[in-house]
Amino acid sequence: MQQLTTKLSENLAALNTMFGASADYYAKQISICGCPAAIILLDGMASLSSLWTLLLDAVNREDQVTNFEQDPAPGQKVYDHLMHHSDLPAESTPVRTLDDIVMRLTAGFAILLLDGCEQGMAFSVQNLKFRAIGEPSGEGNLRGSREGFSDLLRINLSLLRRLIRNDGLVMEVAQANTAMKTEYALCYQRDKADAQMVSRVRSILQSAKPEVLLDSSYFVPWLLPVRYRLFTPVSYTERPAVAAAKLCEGKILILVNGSPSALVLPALFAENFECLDDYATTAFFSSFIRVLKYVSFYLTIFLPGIFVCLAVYLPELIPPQLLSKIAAAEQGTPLPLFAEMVMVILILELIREAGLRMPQSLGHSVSLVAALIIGDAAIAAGLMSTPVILTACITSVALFITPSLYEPATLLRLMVVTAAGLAGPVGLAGVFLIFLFSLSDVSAMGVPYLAQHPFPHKPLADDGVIRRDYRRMSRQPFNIWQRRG
Amino acid sequence: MQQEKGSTFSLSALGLGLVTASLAEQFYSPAGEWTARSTLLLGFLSTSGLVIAAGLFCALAEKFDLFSGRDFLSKLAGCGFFVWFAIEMGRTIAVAQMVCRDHFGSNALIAVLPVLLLASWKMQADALDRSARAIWWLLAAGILACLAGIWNQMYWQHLFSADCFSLWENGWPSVRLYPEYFALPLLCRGRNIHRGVLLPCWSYVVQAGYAFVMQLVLGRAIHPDYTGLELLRAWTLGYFSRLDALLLLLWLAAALWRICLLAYILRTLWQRNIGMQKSTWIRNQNNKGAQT
Repeated sequence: MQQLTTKLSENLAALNTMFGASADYYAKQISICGCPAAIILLDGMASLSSLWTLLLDAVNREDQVTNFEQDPAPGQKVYDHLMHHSDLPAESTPVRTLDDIVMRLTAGFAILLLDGCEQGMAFSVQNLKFRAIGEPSGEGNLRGSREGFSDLLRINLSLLRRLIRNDGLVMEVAQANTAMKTEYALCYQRDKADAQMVSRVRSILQSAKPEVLLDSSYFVPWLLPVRYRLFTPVSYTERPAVAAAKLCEGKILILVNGSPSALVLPALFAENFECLDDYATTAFFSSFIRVLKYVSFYLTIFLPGIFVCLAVYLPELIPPQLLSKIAAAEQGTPLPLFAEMVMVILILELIREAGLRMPQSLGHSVSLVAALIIGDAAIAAGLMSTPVILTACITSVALFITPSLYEPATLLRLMVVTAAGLAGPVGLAGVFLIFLFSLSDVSAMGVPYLAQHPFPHKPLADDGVIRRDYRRMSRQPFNIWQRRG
Repeated sequence: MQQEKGSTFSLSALGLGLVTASLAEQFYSPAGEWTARSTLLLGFLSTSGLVIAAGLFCALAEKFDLFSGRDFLSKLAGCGFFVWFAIEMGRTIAVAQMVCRDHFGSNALIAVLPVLLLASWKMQADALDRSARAIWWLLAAGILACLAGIWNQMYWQHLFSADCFSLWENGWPSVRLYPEYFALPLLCRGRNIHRGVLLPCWSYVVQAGYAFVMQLVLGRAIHPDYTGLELLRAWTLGYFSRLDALLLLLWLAAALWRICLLAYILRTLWQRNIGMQKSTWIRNQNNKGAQT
């Protein structure tokens, strides 16, 4: 860690070596009370105009009434005067090292260095350009706040602070141990979060060494190291309102500079089926919607596999009329039912991935081509049967109801189809158990992903598959640490 | 011996294993060998005896720390229970394979089982415990659907037919001994050990309930070819021609879960009595980040 020296020229030379080649590096030599000085900032990060109007104007005015015994005035005296006896809005912490300067400059500060002084002054004149605060596209809601997190960490922290207006909210900011020195924030409610767990997460984040840190999810392999996992006991949100609600439940939030996605931990499986609208509508309706979501999730995973298993191995379990229709449709196709189902699922995944990654202007053409290929050409050519396409399409649509479970559901659906196609009912039972084990074996900070409700004493939670009246629920506030196994 | 947190089971999980095993016993035992009355009355007496025996044994096991694996006596008991649980596991696998072969025409269990055991190999007891809840729901739903399907075929007159009056006709109804009854200090913690002595009642409820419903539906069906599966075959919902396969599929899932449970118990007994896995366990714990 290189300390600043008393010679301005040496400090400027060192900074020039570091940033000289960069187009956004700005260093202006000036004179304050006759003392040589320099203003340093990164163009675009700090506002030059506000710096001049606010700071130097003030310096000039101070200059007129300040008399130093020596001419030129010694740097240290000017520093002391500006820092402690002027109205300049300088940061209270002085800048002492080059690393310190780099950290402040990249955060949008302007630095004032004086000849004859080992310390610099930092001025908060940030002028960072950022994406406007808009509604997140991935988390649709009918009621409640429309705000979404932005990409800038400080903006996101201010959004949280605006919602939680008590002294319990703690937002610790630190730099990650990465090449880019990305900032991240660890947020929690002091009186609700488990202090031991907070300190554990803090130490894990401090010791984590991701190569780059572009999103909060990059921390997951350090927080929850495991070789194979289908379900991850963390959740993500881009809504400050949701994040604030999670903080009030005692959860820990991690925000990373440059990403609007906040990582919440620990998370429960049931939370994938909840949203803000649930609490804005009646208990009965939200319970109905939740049951629908659960059904759609299980349909997504098991329907294609069950269809293959029943049609191939247990046709006795299908009503005769339906069976005859399936058999008639299958007679015209060259592939076995199992292969057909796998093919349709893979094609649908290809279409989805193409729709997600391609430029939006091409979206309509891809949708059109996909609809034509799948909906018409494949059937007309006799490559695929209608019941198979219908089943695969229902599962694909059902999957979008719980987007947070997209990854495990996609993998599990393929596993179920493969197991059911290759091993029949035995494979189906086996893969069902693997699904159950992969859910029940997951926990974060001692909180199981499947919350504790021992059968048959308490089969349904107050706020689980179905929920109670919100007034009744509010009598006993929920805290995640109650669910620790 | 103080059990580690997360290494013991709830009673409902152990009950699920016993209900699964008892159902399998009912599926393949000859139908109508004992009347519902003798199963209910004499079975109750047998179960009471078992409860007392389990309670006494568990008290002794706790007093002498029989599952600690530290001294000769506990190692001997551990080995004995290891063999017993291994036999039980073999029996469960055999029944599951029989169901797969007879009803689904498949030997796929031979391939599926190793994959399943591998998937559950590193699981803790509490994870197995949590997965039991979902299987309970499925099994309960299946049993209720089955009862609803045969509801209109139940006739109380079948309970009082002329050949149903002899309580002692075929002797005492058989009662299967399961190792879980006597290994409670190994499998449970705290108050569950004392409440667990009632585990034989779970098997009794299945046995008596099955015999009772079977006699309500089929009367006393004495025929060498008739087994308990006839009750499932009587289940119908009009359109579907073989609903028994659905319940057997649910039972198969529960049986596979029981096999994983028994594999876990065998592994625990092995570790306790050989005593070399503690360091591995600690190593695993140290590298778990914020998971535990």
